[in-house]
Amino acid sequence: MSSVADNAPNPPAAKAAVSDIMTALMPLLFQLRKLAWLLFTVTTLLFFLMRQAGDPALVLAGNDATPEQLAAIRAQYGLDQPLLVQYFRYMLNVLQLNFGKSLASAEPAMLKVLDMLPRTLHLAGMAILLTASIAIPLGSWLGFKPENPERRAISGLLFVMQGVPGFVTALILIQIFAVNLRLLPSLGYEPLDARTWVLPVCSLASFLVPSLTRVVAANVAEAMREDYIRTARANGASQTTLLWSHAVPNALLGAAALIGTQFAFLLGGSAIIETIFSWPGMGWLLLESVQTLDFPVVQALAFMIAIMVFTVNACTDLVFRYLDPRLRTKGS
Amino acid sequence: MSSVSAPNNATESINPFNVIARFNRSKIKQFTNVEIVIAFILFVTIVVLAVFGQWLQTHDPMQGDLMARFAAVGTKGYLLGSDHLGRDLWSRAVAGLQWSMACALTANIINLFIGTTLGLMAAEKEGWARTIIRQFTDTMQSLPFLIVAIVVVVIVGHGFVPLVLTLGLLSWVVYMRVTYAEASSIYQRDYVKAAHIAGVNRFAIMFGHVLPGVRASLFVIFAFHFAGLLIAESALSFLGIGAPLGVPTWGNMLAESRQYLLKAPWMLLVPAGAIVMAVITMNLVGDGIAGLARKRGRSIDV
Amino acid sequence: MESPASRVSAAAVSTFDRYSKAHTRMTTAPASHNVLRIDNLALHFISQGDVVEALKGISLDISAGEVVGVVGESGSGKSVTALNILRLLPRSKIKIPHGTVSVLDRDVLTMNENELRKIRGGEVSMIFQEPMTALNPVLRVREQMFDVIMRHQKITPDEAAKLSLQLLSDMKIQDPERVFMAYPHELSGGMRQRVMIAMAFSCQPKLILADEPTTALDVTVQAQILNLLKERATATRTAVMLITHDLAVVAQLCNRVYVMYKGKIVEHGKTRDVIGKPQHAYTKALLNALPEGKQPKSRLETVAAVMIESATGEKPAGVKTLTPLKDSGRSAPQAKFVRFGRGQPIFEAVNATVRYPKKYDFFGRPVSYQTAVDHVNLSLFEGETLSIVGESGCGKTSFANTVVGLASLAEGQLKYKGKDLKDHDEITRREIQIVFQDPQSSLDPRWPIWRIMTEPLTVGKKPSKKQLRDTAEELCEMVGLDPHAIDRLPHEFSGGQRQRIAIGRALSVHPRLLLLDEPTSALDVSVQAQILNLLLDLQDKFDLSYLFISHNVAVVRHISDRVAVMHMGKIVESGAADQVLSRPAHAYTRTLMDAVPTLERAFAAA
Repeated sequence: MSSVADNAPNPPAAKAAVSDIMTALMPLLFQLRKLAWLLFTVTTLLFFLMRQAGDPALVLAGNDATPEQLAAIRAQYGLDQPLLVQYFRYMLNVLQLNFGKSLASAEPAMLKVLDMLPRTLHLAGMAILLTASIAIPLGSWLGFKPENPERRAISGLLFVMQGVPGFVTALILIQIFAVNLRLLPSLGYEPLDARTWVLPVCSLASFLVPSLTRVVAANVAEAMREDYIRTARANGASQTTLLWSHAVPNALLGAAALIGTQFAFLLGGSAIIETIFSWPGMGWLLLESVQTLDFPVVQALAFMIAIMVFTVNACTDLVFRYLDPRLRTKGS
Repeated sequence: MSSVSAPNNATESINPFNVIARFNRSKIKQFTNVEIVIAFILFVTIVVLAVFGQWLQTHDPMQGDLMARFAAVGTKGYLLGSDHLGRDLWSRAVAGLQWSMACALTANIINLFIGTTLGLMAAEKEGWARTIIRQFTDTMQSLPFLIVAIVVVVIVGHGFVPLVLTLGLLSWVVYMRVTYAEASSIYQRDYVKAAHIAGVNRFAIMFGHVLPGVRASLFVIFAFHFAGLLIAESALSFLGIGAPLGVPTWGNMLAESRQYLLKAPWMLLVPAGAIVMAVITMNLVGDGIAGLARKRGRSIDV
Repeated sequence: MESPASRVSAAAVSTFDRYSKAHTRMTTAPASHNVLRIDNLALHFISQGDVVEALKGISLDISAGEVVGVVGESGSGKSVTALNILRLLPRSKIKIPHGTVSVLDRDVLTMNENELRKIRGGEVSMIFQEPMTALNPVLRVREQMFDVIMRHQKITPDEAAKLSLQLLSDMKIQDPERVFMAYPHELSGGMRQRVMIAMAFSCQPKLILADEPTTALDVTVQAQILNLLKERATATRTAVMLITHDLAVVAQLCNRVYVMYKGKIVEHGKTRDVIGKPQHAYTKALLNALPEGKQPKSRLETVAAVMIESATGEKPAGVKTLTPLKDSGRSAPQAKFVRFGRGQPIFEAVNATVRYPKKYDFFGRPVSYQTAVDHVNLSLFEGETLSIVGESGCGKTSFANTVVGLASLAEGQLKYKGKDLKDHDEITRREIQIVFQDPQSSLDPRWPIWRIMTEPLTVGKKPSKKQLRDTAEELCEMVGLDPHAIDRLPHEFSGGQRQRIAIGRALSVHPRLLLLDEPTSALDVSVQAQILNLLLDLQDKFDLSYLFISHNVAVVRHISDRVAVMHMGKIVESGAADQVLSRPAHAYTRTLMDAVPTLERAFAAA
């Protein structure tokens, strides 16, 4: 690394410093380029798809509108312009994060989405925490001696659990805990009432736990066969040390990637669970607005979800780099 | 590189870790044999139901008998009970199986074709094709699949073809990534280099060396992805945006059951059980193939 | 100005002294002087009714402070012996029918895990072969050294840090602080092996088991590491059991040696006696298979042949032995054949330069390059063998890749038969064929070998399956394989046989020039001898030219007419093999030659 003295008029060195900064920022720039490309694709794709779906003017005016009313609305919203012109105007608005007003409630679409955001994060966050805190210890335990009979029985159970989709679990849990036992509410969301969280969070976790556990177990089992484990054993390490100081840290590197993927999946994929439990989050909103053809909201939602999924993936990447010294950049 | 010599040549190599590896392999064999038998029985059942379902249904799955509403499981004539319109759940479950299988199978084949082609193209050599394909795949992966699927199905419309096309065109990423990773590694092997040096043409290399090397993994993904597609299909139907309403599919049956949880819990349990059984079967098949591939892979020391 | 390093080490010395004193006090009392005694030990691997006899009754002992070698080829049971001393083999999968293993007069076979853990790393420690994988990639050197030290010694972390730094600087590491804080991937292979050795010595063990500690390293690094190991062992009076396949390494380091073959100890004694006057047929055969000290280009004896003959009195079956070609003049050792430039060179490199992009800018354009091959000039004449010798990373493989068209030149030219290689048509370019190093990766595991060997013949033509199979049979005969085996898959062959298949494939298109990229370095010494014999026979029969790439000086000396020494992308010296390797002119060649352990030098020094 070259450091430039304050007063030294040394253009090559200064240039080198600039290029060093460039090198350091490069990964970030690459990520931003990817994000821009992703958002462009999502927005464009949805714009044209939604236009295929139906006439927005018809939705705005209602089914019993007269042709004159329709024409007026078209003029008002610029819907009488050629499609490409509409597209460019639309993209200009998107650049300012302006997705227009919800057709259903006349609120700005983006605001409506932002209202829902914390609730979805709440659900997804709790589900992923629960998943990780069950799957990591369980997986480590299973992977340490995978051939024990009781561990194999648990692996078998996990295998069966993996075959039960989250929404099926949700329905069964409702049947048992809400309908038959009347222990927990089956609907609604109260931010401060933990009883309303239990079933949705458990349904999501039940689907995620088996796959994460299996990955952690496989990674631990694989790590236990590595040469460095043999070295540690030859140096007198106990079984506990072997597992927790040597095998698990290596195994978690692989699991970190999956946790990221699962979290990203939850952000977009908890739509069904949110619908089942009437949890007013982004997924629930999405289904509502798609069925009423509320285009601005759908667009804003997709945009937001894409950004969040992307951020989660990018963060996973960062965490991964932090955890794995081999990927950590030297010097900085 | 510690053991380069062939393990089965008796004069060479009693490398302790080779012997242990061989031992573990036999464990896997033992395990997968049981697994494979179960998987095979379930798989054959599903195939028989899917192919001969028409003749195995006891009632018309669409036609209800209002006199026989909410018949419990095991009622005479209604093996798995009936629903709120008096339709036979067994017949509906079989019809749902046919729908789901057809849907997942077609979509899976489309996925396989797109993903493998792109993966092979990207793996072959550096260049603009690789850059574009990888960039495209990254974008596809960042798209929240379910969201896009929901939007597309709503827009394009209900029915078999839109559903299959949506699933088929949107979820090939897993095939591309695996093909790309494995094919890239095969392209680095010396035998591919040797073929290249001998002047063997690129398609002969691709289809003679690379694709056969990736094949085992593709079978495995095909089974697991099949399970994933079954779930996705029934989820979309459950939300009322996959299959047209009223068509007997597992998702629709689950959706219908929600109003009668107290009165007729079997309306929930029959389709739920069907989905779970189908998904577990495909997972078992995938695990079985993976086990076989691993065993074969070990014996040929890939 | 006093550097922090020296301050730390000064403080550490006292800590270190204290513990070595404590340790000396303990060692004054042993009843017998053996640190290790193995008596009539047999060990079987069991797997579902399948029993593999890995050790068949071996006896071995090592006294305090002694350096003892255990020599054998892969599968001889030497690693099993070492791993079993620390009971590192999974207990459920082995059976010990009889025999004892005692460390410091305590029987390890009857110990439980807790007692064993005190021995492991404390009284007996181990150094493994692969420095790349033997250290945990996610932990710093510091954590890994602490792990061992704190487990076996009751000292504070501060003292442990001082001790570690002291141990690292004892290993002649220039900047122990950096290494101490580094992750394994930030260190070179040699440096990692030094760390491994430092860890092995950290708790003042009585015995160190070194399992091929330098096999994965370059020769010059190997020389340093072996010297360090010997030096530290002498300084601390630690006994060392050195497991290796390399007789020269043993000769250089060990007082005594045990020779193992198929789970038995066939011979043991003072190194000088065993290597100077071997008694057992196997030891003799092993020594005869070494190219070192033999007449260049003479036939080497092969171990398999000797052993089977001596056991049964029959010629070995399986691998067809090639009848030595008559009238070649080579079978008579006195006729030394060095062939020099006949007429035009068949192959020439003029200022050949290869560069790889090192860094890319935002748009993916390369901004800086690394030069792998730097203005190399070479010429190879018809029928001769030109070797390129160099250590890993010197650019020899990059150069090989350009010759066969796997990489392109940044500058310069490659000429074949006087014409630029690029201007030749595909068929002529095929006259240059390659044999790779790793016989595992060079054959498609899914193809039967007839298809592998004849693959080059299918280019542009569609010969019938019958024709291809016939050709494959001929090729098998040519390279000494059983022609009836052409339907088998590669994994059914041993490493040496696979290398024969690869040679057969190269021969299928009637090449004029064979590029041999380390063709024997993945093989055992005795198999190496077979392959070298085969290569020499083929060269005679077909008048082939060889471009031989290797790091193994003894092999190069044996097979080459001329030699070029490559270092950091440049050819530093070239000329007749005998001259370059015996009277090196360039400093690097001298370093290289001095680093190679040889029996001759080892005995001269002793």
